[in-house]
Amino acid sequence: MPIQNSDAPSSKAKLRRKGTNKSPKASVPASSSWMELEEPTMRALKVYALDPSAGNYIGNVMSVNVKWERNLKPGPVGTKIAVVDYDAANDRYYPPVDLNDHRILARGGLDPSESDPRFHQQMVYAVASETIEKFEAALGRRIRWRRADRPPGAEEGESATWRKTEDIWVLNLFPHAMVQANAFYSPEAKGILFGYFAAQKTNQGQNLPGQRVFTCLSHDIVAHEVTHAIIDGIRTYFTEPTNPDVLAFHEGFADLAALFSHFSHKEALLDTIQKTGGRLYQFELKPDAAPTGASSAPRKDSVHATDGEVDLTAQMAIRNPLIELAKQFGEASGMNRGLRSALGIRPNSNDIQTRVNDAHFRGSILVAAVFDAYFSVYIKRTADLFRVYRAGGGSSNPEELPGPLAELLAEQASTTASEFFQICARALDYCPPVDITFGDYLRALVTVNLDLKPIDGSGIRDALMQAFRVRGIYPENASFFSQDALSWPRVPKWTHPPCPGALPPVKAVITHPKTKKKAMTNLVFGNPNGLTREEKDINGQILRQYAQDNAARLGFDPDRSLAAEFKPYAPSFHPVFRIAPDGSLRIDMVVELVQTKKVPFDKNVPDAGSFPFRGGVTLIISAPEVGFGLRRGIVGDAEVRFAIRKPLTEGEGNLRKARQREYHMAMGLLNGNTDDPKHFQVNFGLLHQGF
Amino acid sequence: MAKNTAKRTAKKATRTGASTTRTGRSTTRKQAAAKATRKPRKPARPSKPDIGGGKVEGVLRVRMYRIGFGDFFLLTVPTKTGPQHILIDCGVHAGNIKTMDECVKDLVKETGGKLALVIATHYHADHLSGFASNYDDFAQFEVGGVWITNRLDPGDSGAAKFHAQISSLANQLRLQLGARKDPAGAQALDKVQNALGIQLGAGEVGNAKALKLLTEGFKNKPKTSYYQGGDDPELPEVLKGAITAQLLAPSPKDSGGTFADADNKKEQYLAAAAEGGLPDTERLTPFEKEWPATARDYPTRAFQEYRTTEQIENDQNGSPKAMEKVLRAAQPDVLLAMADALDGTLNNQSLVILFTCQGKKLLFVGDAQWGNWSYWLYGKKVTGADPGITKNAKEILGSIDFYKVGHHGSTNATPIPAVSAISEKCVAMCSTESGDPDRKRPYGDLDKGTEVPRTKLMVALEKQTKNKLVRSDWIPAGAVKASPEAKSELAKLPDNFSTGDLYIDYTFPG
Repeated sequence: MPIQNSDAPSSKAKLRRKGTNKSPKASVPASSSWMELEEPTMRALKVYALDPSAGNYIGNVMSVNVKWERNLKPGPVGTKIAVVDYDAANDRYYPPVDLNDHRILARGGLDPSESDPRFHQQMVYAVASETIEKFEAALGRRIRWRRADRPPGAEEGESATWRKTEDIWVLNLFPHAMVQANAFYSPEAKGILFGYFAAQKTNQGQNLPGQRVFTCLSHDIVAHEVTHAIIDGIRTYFTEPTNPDVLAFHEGFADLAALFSHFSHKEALLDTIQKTGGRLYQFELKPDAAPTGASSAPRKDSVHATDGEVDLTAQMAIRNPLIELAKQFGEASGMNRGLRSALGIRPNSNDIQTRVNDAHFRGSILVAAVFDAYFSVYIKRTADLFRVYRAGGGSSNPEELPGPLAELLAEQASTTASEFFQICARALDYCPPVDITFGDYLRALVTVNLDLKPIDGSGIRDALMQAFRVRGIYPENASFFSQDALSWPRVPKWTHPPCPGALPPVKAVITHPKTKKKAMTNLVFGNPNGLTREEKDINGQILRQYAQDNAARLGFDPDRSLAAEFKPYAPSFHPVFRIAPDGSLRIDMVVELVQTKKVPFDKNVPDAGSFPFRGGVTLIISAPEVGFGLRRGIVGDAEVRFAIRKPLTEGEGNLRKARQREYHMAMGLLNGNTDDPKHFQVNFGLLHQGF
Repeated sequence: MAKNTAKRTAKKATRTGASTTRTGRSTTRKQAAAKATRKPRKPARPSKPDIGGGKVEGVLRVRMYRIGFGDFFLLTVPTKTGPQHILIDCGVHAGNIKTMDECVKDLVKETGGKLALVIATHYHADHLSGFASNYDDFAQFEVGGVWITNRLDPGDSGAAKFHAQISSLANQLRLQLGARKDPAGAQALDKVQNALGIQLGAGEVGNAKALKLLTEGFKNKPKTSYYQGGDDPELPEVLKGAITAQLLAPSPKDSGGTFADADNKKEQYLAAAAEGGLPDTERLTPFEKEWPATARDYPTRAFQEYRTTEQIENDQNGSPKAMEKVLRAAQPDVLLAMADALDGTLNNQSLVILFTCQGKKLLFVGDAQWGNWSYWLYGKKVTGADPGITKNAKEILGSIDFYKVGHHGSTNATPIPAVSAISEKCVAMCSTESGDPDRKRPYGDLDKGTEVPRTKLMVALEKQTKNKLVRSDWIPAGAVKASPEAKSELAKLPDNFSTGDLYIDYTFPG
């Protein structure tokens, strides 16, 4: 904790600035190197653990430690996110918080307050940073925000600007953007708009009638929206709803990230474990005091059914906060409960077939499936603890768990949660670049887990497969429902003659951006600190060339006469650094290759417009190994380990094309300007009407 | 020779008509009655000329009045008792060119004050306003029967409740939109007023007044029937044997009494909004205390995302103004979205009717939008994979001889699979108004491709029908000149079309 030298960073920065101005004062003795303190690595900031409505519910105020940004400006405006408190509804700004102010540093962040916009800014900044860091840790790389389409051809010229106006380099967060019960990520606004609204006059739950409700003060809502932005940066084409699962995946995944973050909140977790007797998946917590008079048998119904028998607030059961999303928001809009729940939908294979149009509902099927698996693993892992407890004379239906047992359970719940979050996040890299379905995501989950943790002691893979299966989510092309059939097939080694499905090592003849020489060049994997612009240029060129050289093998249209913008290209490539099971550093590159075609809605009626039809493949490429023994010092080739395809051509391509056409028509996308690419993208603002 | 073929087709028509009713028969009271009336006719059948034979008088004709942005169609059917008339909608809303009075006068003259059947496809002023504005004229009519979409059936508690909710929502929306000055707001207001039938001046609300006329205002108090897709409608006595009608939409309500399939979600959403009131758009300030601040309190870095390409190239800073503008534009406009939803919901209540007369098939779709179409194109709600349009729908579309273009030519009202299934023998009429003296276009936005009539759709339909598409605004009417786009078209009207002072006629060859 950097409290005692809270003033250090700013004064030090001042000194450095003066130093560059060659001011004689620069060499004051106080700055001699042995006395200088190291920069802190973390910044402590206070936030609501859930949202303001939880009041003084145990541990509702938590302190999060986010990465120390040295150059954090008032806003807070950092390098990856910037909070700008502009209220478009009232056309006014609110004063920005300066988190480097010593009075704030000394407190470990401003104390929670609904009436101070500066706390709102701090909370948005803290929760967004926390979410980003969790993703970065899981993915093994720095995340970036959405980049504008850079189709091939556009960047061939030397003068092409590196930065485009449609890019998002810094994600802006607007804590009070509008008067609306909504919050959404908007690529056009380059950020996330949080709304505020007045709670309903009747049926407002634990809020005052008509009180202001701020979506930016809900931990869940902030985490959810930031996750949207993160997914959009990783898979840009997932904002194009080409089948009913695409948007549902966006929504479901964002909910998953928000829900899993509940389990990293130690106090709430402990409290819930105590009050549910370790059954974290229970919908209600036992009240602090038993109801007077009435039998103390556990009730399964909600607060309202028990209202009549309750005399004290301490006797009211509350809903399990861990599995509920956005409690205040839901209650303030008259829903009597949180907006969504992790286990909102009973397992059945019917919903997935029938409820195709409601992205949020469909998303909650995904959430329920993952949480089903999570709780299965949690139960399995804690079963022994309960056995030991009972063997020691503990009751099988305990009123109150002993503290140490609760601690152990909490630890298990929280480790399992972060493990699950890691798998879920990493699976993003194993998803196809376009047209994702829940089945694809299941395959990605299984593959990533098999790829990185081949030995699955707690049966995570099995739990996931079963949980998806009972909800009717099946991958389309897998032949069996077993883990090796479900995991994406490994790409066979490149041989002469090549066996079917094999892909050549990733290298290509390109013109070096500096030396201007044409030569066979290898991919640059760089180091965890990132790639230089030149290295990125090289990689971009190699991958584009590789995609075009191997178009047919990758499921693209190999026609060389296509206009440059319709040729395959690489919208993104990320070197990934992860720890392998044996403890070594594993270096991979995750590459998206995409090709776009314009397909008319009706060949006979060309005037009816067309839609963009995309095919894509995600490549997981292993960094070359350096040989030993006889091949000592010889650097091998970058080999493709997985190629996750959504082909553009042949059988599957044609099937997808027909399906997409019909889907677009059913969604009414024929109306309006079909030449505008935005026409086929989702507008999160309208989708949400909630968040 | 020609007469013979006519006779043969007519005979065929009667037979197919009869078979349609037979297959569609169930054991409801209505049909039992129909059966009873049909019975005596059956033995008469062998003596051919009796029904639809040489004795029928008159020709099969569709008259489209030019009233502006609205529908006013008169279908004249030859029967053995002379020509009989079916009136399908009578209304104008935005783009009113003020010819309604004259058109109704012409209607009186043409029909002699007698209409065999009056059909109101859905609850929108541009299909109903004439019944209200010219209430007194219409009250003098003798009418054989009235058909109304069952979504307006006061006897159905679900429908009635929903309708009341929609109206209250529309009223709330109107009040809030009324204060707005922006063009988008004005268009949304138009939509809402269309739903209420306002603009007809003080007094009774327009659409309600029109509905009153239809249900109790005609001189002879004809029977009013409420129908939906799949119903077997009861034709007035005079039309029996001369024409058959099949109802394709709106989709039937499910047994629970809620609205089924097609636009269930939208309807529920609207209903929820109507119950809970509109979202609060009053000025709401987040904090009680003043927190004075300006953009200058923020570092310039906060606005770097909003730079133009030029600013990026010249390494200039972004401006807060640019950010503010983007943010204002990103505000979802709840009111506009709701006005749209309201408009679509009512359009989807449209009664879609397929008439068969003398072997010709005529399709009147009201303002049906996708949800409505999908019900009978696909036989169910369609989202994911395409099941292919049903054989039945393909057959119907491939066989029609006349198509009343839905929703004044907006794209959302004629899906592309429908356009491409239409055969080239088909003739199409579109009642619309592309130029408006006050505003350039009554609806939509050319830049966004939502203009009405939609140019692309018009072109596609023209191509599909081999240039047999005719628009109401191609003729001058009253003081209004023909649409400038139409000048070249009018000179070469397709065969069998003719024009009057206020209308375009299409007379079926035969």
